[in-house]
Amino acid sequence: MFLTDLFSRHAKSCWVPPGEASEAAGFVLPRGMIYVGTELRAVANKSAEPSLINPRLPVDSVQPSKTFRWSSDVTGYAAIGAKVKALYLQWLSEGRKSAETSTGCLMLFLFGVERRVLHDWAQPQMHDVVGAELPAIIAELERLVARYGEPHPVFKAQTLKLLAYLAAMRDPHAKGVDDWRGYLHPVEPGSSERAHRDVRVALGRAALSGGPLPPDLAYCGYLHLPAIPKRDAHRVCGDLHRQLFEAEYARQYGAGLELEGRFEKMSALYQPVSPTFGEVEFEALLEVPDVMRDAGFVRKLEQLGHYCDNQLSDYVRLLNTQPEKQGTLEALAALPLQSWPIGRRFRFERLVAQMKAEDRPQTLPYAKLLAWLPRYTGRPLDKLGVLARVLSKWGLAVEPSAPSEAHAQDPVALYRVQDGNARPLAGEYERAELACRLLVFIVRAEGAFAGTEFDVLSGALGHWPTLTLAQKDRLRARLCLWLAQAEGVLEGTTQALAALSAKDKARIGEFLFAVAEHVGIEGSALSRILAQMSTRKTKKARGATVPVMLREEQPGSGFPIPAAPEPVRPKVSLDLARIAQLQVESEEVSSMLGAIFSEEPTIVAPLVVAPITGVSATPSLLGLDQRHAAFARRLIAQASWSRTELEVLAVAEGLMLEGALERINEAAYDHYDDPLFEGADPVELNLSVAKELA
Amino acid sequence: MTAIKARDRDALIQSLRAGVVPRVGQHLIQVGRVREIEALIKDVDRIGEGGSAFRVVAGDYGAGKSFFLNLACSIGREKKLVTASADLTPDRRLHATGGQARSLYAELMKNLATRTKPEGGALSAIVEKFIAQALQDAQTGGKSPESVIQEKLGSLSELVGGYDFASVIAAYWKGHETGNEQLKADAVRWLRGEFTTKTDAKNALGVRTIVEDASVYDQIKLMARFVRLAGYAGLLICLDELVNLYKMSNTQARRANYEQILRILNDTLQGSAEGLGFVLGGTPEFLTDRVRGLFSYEALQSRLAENTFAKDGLVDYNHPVLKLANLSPEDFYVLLTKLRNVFGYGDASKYLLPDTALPVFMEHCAQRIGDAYFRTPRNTVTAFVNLLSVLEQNPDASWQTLIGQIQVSMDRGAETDRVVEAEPVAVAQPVVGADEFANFSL
Repeated sequence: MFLTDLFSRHAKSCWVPPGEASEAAGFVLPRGMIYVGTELRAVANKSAEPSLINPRLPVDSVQPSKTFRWSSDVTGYAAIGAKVKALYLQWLSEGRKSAETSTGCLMLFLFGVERRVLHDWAQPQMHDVVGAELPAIIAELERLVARYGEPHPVFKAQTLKLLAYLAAMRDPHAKGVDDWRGYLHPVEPGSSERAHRDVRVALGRAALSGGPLPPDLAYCGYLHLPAIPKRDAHRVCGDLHRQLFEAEYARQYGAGLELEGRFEKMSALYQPVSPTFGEVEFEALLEVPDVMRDAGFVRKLEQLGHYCDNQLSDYVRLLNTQPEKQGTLEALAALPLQSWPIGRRFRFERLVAQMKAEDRPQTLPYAKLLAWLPRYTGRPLDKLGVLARVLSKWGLAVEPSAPSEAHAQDPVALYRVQDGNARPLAGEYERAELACRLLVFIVRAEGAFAGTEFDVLSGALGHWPTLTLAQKDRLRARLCLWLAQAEGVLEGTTQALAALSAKDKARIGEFLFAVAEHVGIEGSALSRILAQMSTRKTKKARGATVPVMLREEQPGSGFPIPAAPEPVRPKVSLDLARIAQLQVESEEVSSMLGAIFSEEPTIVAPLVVAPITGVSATPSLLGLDQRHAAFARRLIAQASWSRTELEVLAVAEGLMLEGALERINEAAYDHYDDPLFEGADPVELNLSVAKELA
Repeated sequence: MTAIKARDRDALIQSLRAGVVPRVGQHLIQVGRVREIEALIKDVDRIGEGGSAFRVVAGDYGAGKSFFLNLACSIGREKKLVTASADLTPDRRLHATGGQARSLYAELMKNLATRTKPEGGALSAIVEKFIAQALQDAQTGGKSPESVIQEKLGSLSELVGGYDFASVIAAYWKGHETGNEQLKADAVRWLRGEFTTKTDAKNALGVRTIVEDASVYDQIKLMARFVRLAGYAGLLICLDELVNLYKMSNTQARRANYEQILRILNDTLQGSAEGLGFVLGGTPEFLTDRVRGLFSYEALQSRLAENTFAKDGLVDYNHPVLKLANLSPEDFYVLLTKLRNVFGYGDASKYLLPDTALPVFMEHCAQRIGDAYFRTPRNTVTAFVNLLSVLEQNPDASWQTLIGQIQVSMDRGAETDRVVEAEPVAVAQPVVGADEFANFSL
């Protein structure tokens, strides 16, 4: 009891609580949160507490220093010069609100806060007192970061770490974390440490809740997973990428991924900057699983991300080179169907559904089709190709295949294209088209098929067996157009017939005759056209009870009925001699490049390595100078470092972090062909090289 | 056969699965092209010895230009060069007046890479390495750091813009010395070409100039000399997608860019650039088109025209233009064997597929997309890597079944390469002949 009281009184005598004023060397220090007094020992040793402002020490308040440079040499208030002390006290006396300050002032202030929240808070007899002060301390730290963070990144980074650690300590279930939905917009991975942490917490809480992972959070997790390499899509067209990702996610996982199994817990590490603690690190474990460390989860998101990247790759490539193409027909052609604007997609979905239900092509004015699509901005000559690509996404094509903009009110027919492997015969479509024209004319002249003309004509195509499926589809579309045409179906047929060989004419005649037989056409139009075809088949053949000859035998001529369609299997023929030559060349290349990239030999027998003298002694680690060697030794002690921690350590060693890492890694490359440290944040130790060094 | 590092293997597989050209481990899947690579290595060696190099790598879409350029960068970094790569786009050009050239320079500086930072972002590391070396020299020589830095940077002052460049490096040092992070950040911003007005630069750093469209190439030459001062062997610049210059509709702007290429070509081949190399990647149309391509510029055509003796199977690999042919089925087959080898860590006993599976896979792809499976192999390679990945995780799965399920789509990127910026073109009207009207009568 006595000791507790003594401790409490002693600590109270030095710690100035938030909001209370104190005085030192003639300066009134108004807002507290500092240690002021004559006696307070460091936590880890018997020296004076580094943050303690001892009013007895001399202060040159007449000529305060202009800057207080922060480095590892700053071991506490007592050790800095009288002019620098004046600068620090002046900043405190202004309520820590002056427009500018030095990193040294900020860091020295942080020394005191660290002691209060890391040491005093852990003492049972002071736990409640410090706990009550914590909101004010946290608010002050956040204010300082907002005010001075940008020009003083070392202070900012260290303070943010401390705040994260305190958040974890105060709220181990992370219930008070900001709403992670604020981060759902595409964020460059690693751009915001806090966003990254919040997303991890949100994922962990989703795992704890036991329910499925919602798609927007899954996408957010994907964006923030540093292990997943990302292409440009999320940056160039973030919304489309997100929508596609979420749609595909819903397709594959329904309501969402079930996060089951055992996950490691999240932790917040903090290494204090104040020398009062010596070499101590504080760790706060959160009662929240760290889903992002689960390889299976990462793989699933990675696969989804890659799927979306691939789907959008054409679009991204287009926008990367020609950003002004956004919203044009060219851009639409590059987009996957799922990413089309809803209005346009709906219109085509309805059209395709209607065509499926009616099983016939649809005619509409060309201008109307163009009005359904965005504007085209490329070369006029390429427009039809782009239009065909857009329609082919729906399995559609247009007839005529090259409609004229000059006659935009003329009808065109949209039809569904079926897949087929058969190769078309040369000139076959043109002959069949000519025959169909004549057939349309005959059927109309007959006048007995009103309302069912299309079905009759469409069925007639079965009598031309050498047409491919694609050609039949196109002819059906053509039939629709002819039927919609009041007259002029026979335009150009005279010339076309005159250009045909007698054999082809006869063949067309046979087709017309066969169709007429099938559907029961007997009119004079048929007879006169058949006469033009020079065919000798007449109605007399009808009703024959024995097989009749439809065509005189002509060896080597005519069109043989093709064999039953079988899948085309293009054979991959490989030139083995060329492969052997390539393999020799590739071996040569491999050895040439291997010498440059220094691959590891496969021989696993232990290599006899001469002991490196002096490695265990301090001076020549990797041949580095003393400062860099000491820095490297310090870093080897831990497998992973945050950038903030390294910045603080580098400053303490009087080094510039980037340059120091570059030199150490270069030296490691020279010795072991591998860097010693990898990654940007966190910076991770390459264990294989570290093992060699050990 | 040599063992493969897990790090290289994983990075390579990740890139190929994502359909991007790998940044590391290219040597593990390089097929053939011995002479081309020999030429490349010679170029890199020459740059490392203080010389210069210039190459145009020409090939159709899918021929492997980007892969080759990345391989050049990797070799360069292994030989202690600093490398910088960027794709040309309508917003990033060699010559411009609207900030596009500065934008290219900024992209190059963002992608500045060293052996230890192959992913880019090495500018600060290079500057700090230079300063650290200067500090060490100052300590050993008993001089002040300022004087050592001034002395070292003295050689920059003789180049165009060198004085301000040296001042900016000195400002970085001052920022470090005084704990002024803002000054350091401003110095890096200047070096990256991110200052847009001279007033801002003067206020922040006290220098009178900034990196502008007109000074981009001079700035690259300064950077080349600076990296040598910092202890690297030289600077290699890789520019891809030069077809974007060919696509430009404005003839004057296109010519100005070609003039810039001519300046670079002259500088590097005449030896006035020091420790600096350029590798440019573009399509054959970009190179040989006499209306829009490099050959439309007379001076370049005469320098880059094919060696007249290099025909009937003879090739001149010392020529500034390296032509890459499209892959053949045999090339593709060997590529598949290499991918299989990478997955097996270079150990034949760990191969996930037998030799017989490779032609079956190729045949499957050929049925799906025809010749494109080996001519533009990006999607086919991704499909193959995915197949191996599934087999690796499911050792009991049958490759025969899996190959039948593979979906391969056509890579249509080549179409984008052919699209040029819109120009007014007369619309062809259909000609209607008088005899089109039917006179067929019954």
